[in-house]
Amino acid sequence: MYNIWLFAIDKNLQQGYGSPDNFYVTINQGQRSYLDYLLGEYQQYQVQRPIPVVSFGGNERIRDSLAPLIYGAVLPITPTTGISSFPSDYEYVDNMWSIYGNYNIRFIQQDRLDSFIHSGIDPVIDNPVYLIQHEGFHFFPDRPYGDNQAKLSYVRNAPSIVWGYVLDSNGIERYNPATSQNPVWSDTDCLQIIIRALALVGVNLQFGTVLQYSQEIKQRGQ
Amino acid sequence: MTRKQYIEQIRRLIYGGQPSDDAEISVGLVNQWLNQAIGVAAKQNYKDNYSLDGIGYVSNSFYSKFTGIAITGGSNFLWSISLPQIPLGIGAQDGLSTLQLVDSDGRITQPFVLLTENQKTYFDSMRPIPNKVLGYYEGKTLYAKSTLVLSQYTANVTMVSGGLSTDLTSTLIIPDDYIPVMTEYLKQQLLFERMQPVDVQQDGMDAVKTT
Repeated sequence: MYNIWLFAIDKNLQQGYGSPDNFYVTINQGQRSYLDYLLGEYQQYQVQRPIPVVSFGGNERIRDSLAPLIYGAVLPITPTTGISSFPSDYEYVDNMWSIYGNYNIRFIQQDRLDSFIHSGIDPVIDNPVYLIQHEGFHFFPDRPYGDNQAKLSYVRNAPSIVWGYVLDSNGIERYNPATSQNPVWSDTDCLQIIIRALALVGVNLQFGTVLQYSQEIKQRGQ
Repeated sequence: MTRKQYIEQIRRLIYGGQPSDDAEISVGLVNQWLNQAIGVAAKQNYKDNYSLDGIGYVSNSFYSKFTGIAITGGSNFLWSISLPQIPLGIGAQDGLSTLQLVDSDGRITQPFVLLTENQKTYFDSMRPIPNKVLGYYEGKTLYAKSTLVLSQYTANVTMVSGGLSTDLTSTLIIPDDYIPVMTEYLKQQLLFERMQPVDVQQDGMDAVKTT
């Protein structure tokens, strides 16, 4: 990825150069931007209808792209408060189930809590729900389906991409696999991340060609 | 077909496939509507029978028997039986057809004679019918008038019902030719719900009124 990124910005040294540190900053910003895009950017929401052009769960293609970041976890729930902390690398909920049997635990927003808790048709004792708040997931009832645990499927933060290097005798960076961290994405997704990183480089260098190239690919595809 | 299967069929119809975990039209909600849809189907059957035969009645296929129901009370020789559901309001008393008692050895009585509300007003002053016990139902309670101690028996009742609504694995007791009547009713109600604008903003205003 570093070579492709470098190729785009420093065809000749007069136009620009990106160091491995620059690469680290921009490429990780690029993958965060791409992750946001796949999960559904707010900017694409329509008024009164929060459905972006691309969103998590839109189809199998998107889920395939995110597959390297979709993890499962068993959440311990504090029985007195019904709260469970977010996993340390948590980014976005995929789904929540009971620890046994994969019964649904439904996400609701705070303004629906009263309706759900006091429902006469679907009481929360049999149809547990959870809120998202700063402490983590808040379950109703405190022990969903009578257990102190729940199963979570979630999207984690993308691990940092690092082009590790050592300096040779001439002071030139040489690739060092020992300190490098490869991207978890597929090759096609890597290209999407590179063009987002290039957009940042283009702005930094006031390099219109790079910026235009990245914008065109982002908007129109390959 | 079980209740659960039919409810799944309806939900898949409404959602155009398997519903997601966010589905507002839950199993419990459809089950609630289903009880009402059964009533609509039974009423339609009553009308159909009337138009075909000239006599209003509900076909046998709609009836379910519930057994082992406890009998309580006894003051003034009036015994009460809590029915599994309020009998449907079809005809004078077509909602519930038969009441019989069972003793501890499993022996079953002759069916009771069930009265309408009008007949109830004068049956006390009538000569007793030999070897027959009279009864009537109001709401969810069935009353039996007898000088015998009925609390030592349990009751079997046969009534128009889709089966046990609290058990989703129970068989849905509706003939196939009236399933579409229920389906049309459920579609009408549930698609109406689906079409309603949803207040997605927590701003103290009902979205429907602000748009």
